[in-house]
Amino acid sequence: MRRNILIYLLPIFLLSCGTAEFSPNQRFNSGSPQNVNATQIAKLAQKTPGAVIRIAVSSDTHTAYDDSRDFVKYVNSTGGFDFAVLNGDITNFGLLTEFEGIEKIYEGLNIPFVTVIGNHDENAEGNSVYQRMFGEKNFTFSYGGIKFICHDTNSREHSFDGTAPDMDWLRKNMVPDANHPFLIAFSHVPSFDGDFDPSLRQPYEQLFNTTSGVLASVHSHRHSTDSIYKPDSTSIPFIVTNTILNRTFTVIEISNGQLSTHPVSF
Amino acid sequence: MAQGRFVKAIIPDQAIIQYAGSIGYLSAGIGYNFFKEKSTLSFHYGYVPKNKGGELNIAALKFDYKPFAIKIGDQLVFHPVNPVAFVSYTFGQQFGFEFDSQVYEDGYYWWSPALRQHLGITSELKILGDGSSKIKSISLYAEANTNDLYAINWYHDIKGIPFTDIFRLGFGIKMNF
Repeated sequence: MRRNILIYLLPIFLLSCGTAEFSPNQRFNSGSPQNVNATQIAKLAQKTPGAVIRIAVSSDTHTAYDDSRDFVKYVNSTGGFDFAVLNGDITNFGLLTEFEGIEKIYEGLNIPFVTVIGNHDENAEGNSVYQRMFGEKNFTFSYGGIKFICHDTNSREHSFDGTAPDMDWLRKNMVPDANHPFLIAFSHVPSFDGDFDPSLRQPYEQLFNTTSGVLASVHSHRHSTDSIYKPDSTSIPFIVTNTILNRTFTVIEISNGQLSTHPVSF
Repeated sequence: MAQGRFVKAIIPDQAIIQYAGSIGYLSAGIGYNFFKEKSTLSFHYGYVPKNKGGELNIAALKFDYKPFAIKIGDQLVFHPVNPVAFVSYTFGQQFGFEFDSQVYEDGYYWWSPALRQHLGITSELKILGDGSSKIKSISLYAEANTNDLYAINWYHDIKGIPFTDIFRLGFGIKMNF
């Protein structure tokens, strides 16, 4: 009799805890968030920047929900940040459920956040999932006199066909103006990495180094301790940050056009 | 004579229509029974339309085993917990069997974009016919499945992902001949 009761309970358990799935590769379901970057940027526009702009730069969450939750808790309890960035490799496999899981966790931040697309995120239908959920892969926004240039440098995912990074888009958008004299770029793959199109490395670095007002280019992808690459003494800093999997993020502070950066463990 | 036996062998024992269950918004299948109907091998084709998150075209091969058959009155048979294993293959430009070896060196990404392995449990209620038609019974079933990638994500983040979160549901009808 006891065995029978257990046997009847299992189907009820089956039916009650779970959602239907058409395919792990579906681009959205009825509950999927949309236009998250635009919504978050609108939230950021409601804030008043202070003398120091402080950004929490996280990256490479790779569907690690526990570490991501701890990052959110740490940033919320520490306070003092204007916004956060998730600089690519949100997921492992570019699947809808992975994007949704991380997005939901980052919604728990008490500051706005934006995401940038990483190479893992471009697998399967990931490009479509990302674009519907977060928005365009190349986008800009402004805050505190700084223009932020977020873009796709996952060249290998484009088979090195010259479309990533989009140099035309970059030349058009990496332009300071009277209200935004400073520029900071965010993209996943650094220009000196094997997954970056080698034929675009020189024009890319040259554009960043010759545009006035560029404070830094921030990357990740390497899962290594923070490092700064400067091709020569006159170049801008190309900053490579660590992965959330190593329970580390990077604080970027800008004050009077001076940028400083340091890693934080949580 | 041999031709007649062959035709008899390939006529399916089951026709299946399923909603969701990771192999399509809707999918259709045919099944063949083994071991006195305790096991079924079935072939499915599913489709996800654009407005449901597709377009996706998916083929699947399933094998299930029904260890228990509980009679409820004269007309109902309940198979409460049936393990099922299946593979699904998603067709399309984004889905090669392997990553392009001209772009990715061996081992860059270890998984197959198109081919997924799934494990699950079904629960099935069989309604017996009165014997007058070719359809011996109709089954209603619910299925919970997970796949290799969901399982690996869970394994790497056991603290972060509840085990039940990696299972997804499907529901269907089988016509048993």
